[in-house]
Formats: sequence, structure tokens, C-alpha cells
Amino acid sequence: MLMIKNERAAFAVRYAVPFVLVPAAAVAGTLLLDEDKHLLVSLFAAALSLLLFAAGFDKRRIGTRRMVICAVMTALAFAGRFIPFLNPITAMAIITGIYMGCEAGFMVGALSALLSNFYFGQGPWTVFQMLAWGLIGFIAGLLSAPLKKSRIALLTYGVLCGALYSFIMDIWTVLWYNRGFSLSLYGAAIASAIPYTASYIVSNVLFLLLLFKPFGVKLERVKTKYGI
Amino acid sequence: MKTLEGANPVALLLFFVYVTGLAMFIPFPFLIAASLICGMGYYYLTPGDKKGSFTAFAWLLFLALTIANPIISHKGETVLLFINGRPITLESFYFGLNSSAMILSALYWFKTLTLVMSSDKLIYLTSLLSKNLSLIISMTVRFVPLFSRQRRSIKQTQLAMGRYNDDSLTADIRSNIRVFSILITWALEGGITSADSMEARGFSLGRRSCFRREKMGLFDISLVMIMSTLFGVCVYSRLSGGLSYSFYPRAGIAPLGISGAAGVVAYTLLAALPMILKAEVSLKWRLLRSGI
Repeated sequence: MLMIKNERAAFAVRYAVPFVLVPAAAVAGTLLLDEDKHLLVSLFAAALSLLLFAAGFDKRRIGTRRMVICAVMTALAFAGRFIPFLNPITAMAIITGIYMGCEAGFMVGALSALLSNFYFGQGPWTVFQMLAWGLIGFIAGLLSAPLKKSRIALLTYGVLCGALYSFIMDIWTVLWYNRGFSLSLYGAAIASAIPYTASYIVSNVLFLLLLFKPFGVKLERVKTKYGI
Repeated sequence: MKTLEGANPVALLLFFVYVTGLAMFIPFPFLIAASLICGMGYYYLTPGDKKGSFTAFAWLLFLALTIANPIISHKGETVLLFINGRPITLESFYFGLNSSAMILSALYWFKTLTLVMSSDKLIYLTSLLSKNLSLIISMTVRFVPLFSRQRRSIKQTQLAMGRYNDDSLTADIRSNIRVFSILITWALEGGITSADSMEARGFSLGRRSCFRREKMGLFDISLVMIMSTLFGVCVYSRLSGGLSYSFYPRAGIAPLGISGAAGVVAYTLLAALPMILKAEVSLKWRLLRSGI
């Protein structure tokens, strides 16, 4: 692997490749190839960015404590998914992203999707769920300062994530069923997913309201007490 | 020989990638049928799991998806009937049937994947990619049962202390939040303690290595090569046009060319591979027992 000396440049490359270059390639592939290749391109792109992220993850030294806390948060999100009707993974990924940084947010989102799907049904959608939840945590990490400051911004972000997550997963449903994108099927998919979308939004808002402050206090406390 | 589940996890993962990937990207009716039959066979032969509820769920979804397509899509020539002035066509029904059979077969394959891909196999596979990642996964897998046990004991303690011990919904929610909050503090502190004891035992010193029980043996390598060859035949058949089929505007029976036939046979062999290996192993077992 290429070694890049400059810390900032290395950071930019590590994230630009999985999250900018690969999606760009996916969009280009979608525009250039014909309809029945869309599914292949999207699946390939999502898997590639996850693999690249994972490979980049090993190159960096992350502290042991941070790693264990990642595992704790993932396990909590995973266990929380057994709550009926509600889904705390988004909220947990957001909280981890805000307090522990982008990378940890991505890990918690993506890993809890992967692991909990062993109970809730593994499928080709796992790749998209991992990417969607991971990115939600990652972006929360990038926006951590404004989200920490204002509760309205945080809840807005939660609502947006719930809706966007559902809409993005519906694109995948349509692609899988129909092989090409079809607007009427997409509309039908969104309409039939309204209860799910509502449950995502409600659980994001609910869990962020309930958990953000206690988790914040606890994570900040652990951070100052042990210096992570 | 071993069964597929006993082989190296790389071979196992590759099998599922090949078999579901081909079924998802080649919507050829015969191939989908082979995928569905072999997927069901492998699922029902794999021990573990309550099979009944999954079967009911999968087939209900199959029915719903099959009906959905002709209602939404009105392409095709053979009109069966009109609903609200919109035609319901036979071709659209066939297309929906094919798509939902594909989804059903993928559900079966992935359900089997969750049965056979145990956590040690998952950790082995991720350790090939990143050792830190596989460590986090192994810790998470260990934490989940630990936390649920701890949550139960916290809850019992809280109830014994007489907190929120009534049946109203708000009290229930508040008590659950309280239990969860205690659990978080406990989990974070415990996590830091285990991180520190890992450090004290020299965790972050030197190069990380990873214990791997599974080795890539001759059997695994030949398995991977056989599967890859069959996969290659299918892809070649698809690229040369042997496995293309169009439902619109009219779904008819088209003769299967040599390339198409080769593709279907190769796919069927690939999908039936775990069952063939299982049969071979159980036959050998019977022979060995009969010799006693």
C-alpha cells in the first residue's frame, strides 16, 4: 500500500476513496451502462467502499480503549434492536459518531447492521444497510460540533436520517425486484414502507431525546476520567 | 471429503457469493428454478432454526410480490382481464413470478448462510481483512449475551428495590430507560477495565497476529477451483447470450442453445454442491458403519 506522509492528505485519501470516488464511479456506471446493470453496479460499489474502509481501518493505530468502547456501543445497539417496533441503531451510530469521532460512528453503524442481521435476516440488503448506517454515524462525526450545541439540529438530523435511510433502502428494493429503476414501483415501495419510515423517524427522535444526554454525560465522563 | 460447512470459511463465503450473485443477476427462468430448488434443499437439510415460521413468511412474501407486479406493470401482449380500465397481462404476471421466485430463492440462501456462518467463521473472514475489525467483532459477539444477562439482573435488582413496579406504560418505559442507563455505565466501565488489562498484557506492543484454526487445505483449494470454474461457465454463458430471456412483449418458450444449456447445468451443479458433498459424507459414514 502507498505510504502518504502528510497526515491530512492521508486522511483525505482514506475517506475520499471509499466515500467519494466509489459512489462517483457507481453513478457514472449507472449512467453509462444499461438498466439491468444498475443492481450489479450499486451492489459492487457499496461492497467495495466497505472493503476499502475495513482495509484502511487496520493501517491506523486506534487506542485499545477506543476499540473496546466501539465494541460496547455496537453490542448495545445490537441488543437494542430486539426492542419491538423501534430501532435504536441509527441513534447509537449518531451518538457514537458525535462523541467518539467519525470512524467510530461508522464502525458502530456498519457492524451493528452486519451482526444484528444474523438474527433479523441477512441478505443482499445488508451491504446497503451497513453503508447507510455507517455513513449516518460518519456524517454525525463530521457535524459533531453543531449537533452537540443545538438540540433542534440534532433532532432534525435524526428525522432526516430516518427518512433518507428508508428512501435509500427503497431504491434498493426496487432495483432488486425490477432490475431497473422504475418510478411507479419506487412510489409503491415508499408508500408500502410508510409504517417503517414512520417507525424509523419516531425511534430516531425518541432514542436521541432519551439517550443523547445520558450517553453524552457517560461518554464524556469516561473520556475525561481515562483520557481516551 | 468434507461438507461445505466443514470447509474453509473462504470457500463457504465464495459459494454463497457465487450462487446468490448468479441468481440475482441472471433472471433466466430455468436458472431461478434451479436456485430455488437447491436453496430450499440446502436450507431444509441444514440443522438448527425453527423452519416453519420462516417458510410461512417467505412464501407469503412470495405470493404478495407475485401479485404486485401485474397490478403495477401493464406491459405485455396477452391481456387476461381489466381492473379499473387497466390491463392485467400474462407476461407481467410471469415476470413477477420470476422476480419473486428469485427473491424467494435468495431468502432461502441467505437464511442458510446465517445458519452455517457461525461467529468463528465470520471472525476468521474479517481477520483476513483487518485484525482490529475481527477483534471488535469478537468482542461484540461476546458482549451481547453478557449485556442481556446483566440487563436482566439489573432489572431484577430494581424491581426488588420497589422502583416502578406497576403496570402503566409510562412507568414501564421509565423503568426500562433506567435499567438501560445503568447497563451503559456498567458496560463502559467494564470495557475500559478490559482494555486496560489487555494493554497490561502487552496488547498494543508489536505486530498483531491472529489465531486461525482453519487452514487452506487441498480440499478447500480444489473446492474453490471447481466452484470458480462453474461460475465462469455461467458468466460466459450469460455474456455470450445463452442465458438471456425476455418476458416482454410476449413470453414464449425459446429453445435452449448449447451455451444456455451449459450455463444452466453448471449453475445447477454449483447450487447442488453442498447437497452432493453432504450426500457423499453421509454415504461414507454408512459404509464405514456397515463395515463394523
